[in-house]
Amino acid sequence: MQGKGQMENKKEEQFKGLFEMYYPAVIRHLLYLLGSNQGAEDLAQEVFLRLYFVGADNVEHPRSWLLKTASNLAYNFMSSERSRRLREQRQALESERNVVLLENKFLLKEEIRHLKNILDTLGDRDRMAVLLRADGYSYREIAQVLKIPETSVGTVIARAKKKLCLELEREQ
Amino acid sequence: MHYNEGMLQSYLDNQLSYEEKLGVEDHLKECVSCRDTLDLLAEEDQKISSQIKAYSKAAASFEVNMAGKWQDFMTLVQHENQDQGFLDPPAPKSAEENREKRSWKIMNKKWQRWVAGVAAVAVICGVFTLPTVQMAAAQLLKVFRVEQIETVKMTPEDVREIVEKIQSEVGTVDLRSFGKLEVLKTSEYESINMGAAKEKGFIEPGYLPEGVSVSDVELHSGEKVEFSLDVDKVNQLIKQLGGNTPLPEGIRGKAFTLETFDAISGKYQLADGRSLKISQTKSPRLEVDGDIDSQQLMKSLWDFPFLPENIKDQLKQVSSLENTVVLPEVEGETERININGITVLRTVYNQRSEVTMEITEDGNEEMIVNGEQVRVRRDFEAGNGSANSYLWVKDGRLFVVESSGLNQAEVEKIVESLL
Repeated sequence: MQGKGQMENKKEEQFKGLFEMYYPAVIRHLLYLLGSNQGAEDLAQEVFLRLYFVGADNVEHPRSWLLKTASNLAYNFMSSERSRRLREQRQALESERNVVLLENKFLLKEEIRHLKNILDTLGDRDRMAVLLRADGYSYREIAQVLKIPETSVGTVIARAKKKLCLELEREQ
Repeated sequence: MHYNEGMLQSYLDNQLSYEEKLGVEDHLKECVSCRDTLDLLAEEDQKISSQIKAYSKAAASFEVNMAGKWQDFMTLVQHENQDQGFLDPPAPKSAEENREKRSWKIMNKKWQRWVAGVAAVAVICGVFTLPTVQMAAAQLLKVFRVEQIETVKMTPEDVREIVEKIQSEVGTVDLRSFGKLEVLKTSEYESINMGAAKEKGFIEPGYLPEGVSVSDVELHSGEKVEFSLDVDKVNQLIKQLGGNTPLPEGIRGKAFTLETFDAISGKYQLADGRSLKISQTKSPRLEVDGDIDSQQLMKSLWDFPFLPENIKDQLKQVSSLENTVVLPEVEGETERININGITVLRTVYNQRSEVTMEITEDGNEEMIVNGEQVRVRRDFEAGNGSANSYLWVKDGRLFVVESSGLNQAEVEKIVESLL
């Protein structure tokens, strides 16, 4: 990297502004997609790291870029080994002690936890499709995140919804 | 006939094209069964939407603790910088760049624009699909020659999508880390006369508008670039991007040689300052040392995860890969037309182009079309086909006709006389 001139400092200042403005939104989005703040902090940092190296000036709409990148990373993360291990550990601990780990504050509310369990009955892909759609993503954007053809998005969503409804009915 | 659930769901979510939407609506009027399916889908939507809303609300109201986050981030940045995990945005030093000065500039410009934005593609696609090659069986040394052009339609949106995808999935990448590139022979340039040009095989058009005269003839000698890929690095990138077709093992350690040949461009001038440039060269060729599983190479190229689906579909339809160059056809700029049975790629810099005019010291106007300077006389009427170019391949030769100020019909007549 180049020497740290005044320009560099100013750039850093600007980036700090972006960071502070959007960090909470990125965390919340990740929370929504992952259903846990396990991993969310790491991923959020990574999202900003990418923006940092891509250069904030090269991105037209930082907020939507950040959220989109977060969606991509979240999806990759779900299927990764790291996430599986974390999830298993957490579940083991939680069932053992019959508590929700404190760090998992998002799930403190009973109804949210309940919903999360139902969403978890779907596979990663189906759950992401439903959540992204509810968040206003277009099929095209969903297809990009899930790496499936745009023409299959409707089918994925229709099936996932059906499954969700069945689970909801069963629970009642 | 009945629509499947996916299609009806897309309809419900208002994600169909206008035509598709009309089709579905027409069908729904007559089909009870599809209406029922649609109702059911809508009902399910209602059931889950309130639930998901509550979920989303809980996430949105989550209190984020910002303490120490920026410091964490700066530590991470420093760490990454030391690791060289990311590098400065690359200046793609590739065959494309070297050839910029070459006469078939328009083609390169298209490529450059496409390639420059898409760092990783520059090495992989730029280098490979340029003369998209069908690498068949056994001989030790194979030669591929570009004999036809195929295009892939893309919208500016698609281009943006590719760039975004790469940026968001891998950050920036350094091209140089994906392979080695060596220039074996560089291009040189000299002025020659039309007689010498013709001796070297330059074909003059049978038709030229009245008052046109040759102003300059240039000869650019060919060049030779050799490159090889770091297969592991490229595969890693493919994987990182979510692709699952690695490059074939066979290309490991193989050197590719891209050779271009003498190119001659004739510049013509009209009395009123409008100009025309005709460039011709033997098609560039790609040599590969040894055997390569072409099918698998193509498979992994077409499977590149950052290519939008619609582009993948088009690529798969490219019927013959042999001796074909695949060029991006950007909506609103480039168009594939057919003149006398030959595929010609037409690029028009029309009103949509960014055109600015400046008056220079000597009283002429300088016109900047998409960042390129085109010198025109004061009496030039913009909008009258301000600048256009035509590119095609015939009998192993690559032709480019570029004009500024001539109208489309006139240039096409010239093109036709060269076919």
